[in-house]
Amino acid sequence: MALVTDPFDSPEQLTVCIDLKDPYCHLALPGTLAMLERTQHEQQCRWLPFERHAMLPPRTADNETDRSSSHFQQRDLYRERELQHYAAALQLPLERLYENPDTTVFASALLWLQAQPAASRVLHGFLRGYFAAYWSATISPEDRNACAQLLDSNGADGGSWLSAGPDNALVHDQREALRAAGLFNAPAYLLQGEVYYGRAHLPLIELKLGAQTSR
Amino acid sequence: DYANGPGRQFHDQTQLQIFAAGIFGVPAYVVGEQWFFGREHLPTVSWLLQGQQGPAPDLAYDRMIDPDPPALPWSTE
Repeated sequence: MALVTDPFDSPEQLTVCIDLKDPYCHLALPGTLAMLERTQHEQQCRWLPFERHAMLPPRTADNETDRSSSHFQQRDLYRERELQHYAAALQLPLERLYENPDTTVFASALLWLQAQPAASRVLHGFLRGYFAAYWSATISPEDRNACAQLLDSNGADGGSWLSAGPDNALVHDQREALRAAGLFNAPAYLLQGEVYYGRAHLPLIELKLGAQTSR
Repeated sequence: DYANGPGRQFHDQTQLQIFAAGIFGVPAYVVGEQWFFGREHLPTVSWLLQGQQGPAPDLAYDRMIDPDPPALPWSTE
């Protein structure tokens, strides 16, 4: 029986906590993988499923003189515009911004893959394939067969994962463990006892990992 | 006198104009008709100011110099 991972039990190892339905995690993936490749930390990095609050469509302002509701509306509209700007900059699809599906199936496969003696390229291919398919709305995150096919297409044994069945309880417990550890957003990068939220921190994380590599 | 009179009036009027334009946080960087909140957008701001040459950059806190700065003199560690 697979065990829940304590996110802080291995401080020298980079831990990346992601939400498979979250646009910020989607936009963070290419830069994170490129950084791991540059620092030669592909094999050491571990990925844990988290679940942040769902994206909601922009709120409507109650009236033009209500500064509070207008403020929230402006924030929501800006957030959407910013996501679209960077998705275009990174040439990534962003089709289903406000959907809130259950991603437990693919999160289970993410944990299962890391318990296999698989190369990091298999894991990274799975993540790339999932996010590309999810954000271009060509895959259902609740589709077990699609998940098994994605595992197969990246060199893993999707049939084995499918016959064992998604470990929903492990995904749930892992997400709860991250929440209990104080995490509240994604992507979260855990390194050397510190938590960094968001891909904007990748240059600093790369410096720290690079220093580890050169030791 | 300025602070309590025309200065105060100018300040309050400017605040209303800025908020009405959609600016709700700081630091806000306004370049043409685009605006961004937070210093992680400086690569994009720089790219816009330089005429959008080359591919659009991602956001990043890319002005880090020392990932492990020395402890401050009053640090207890």
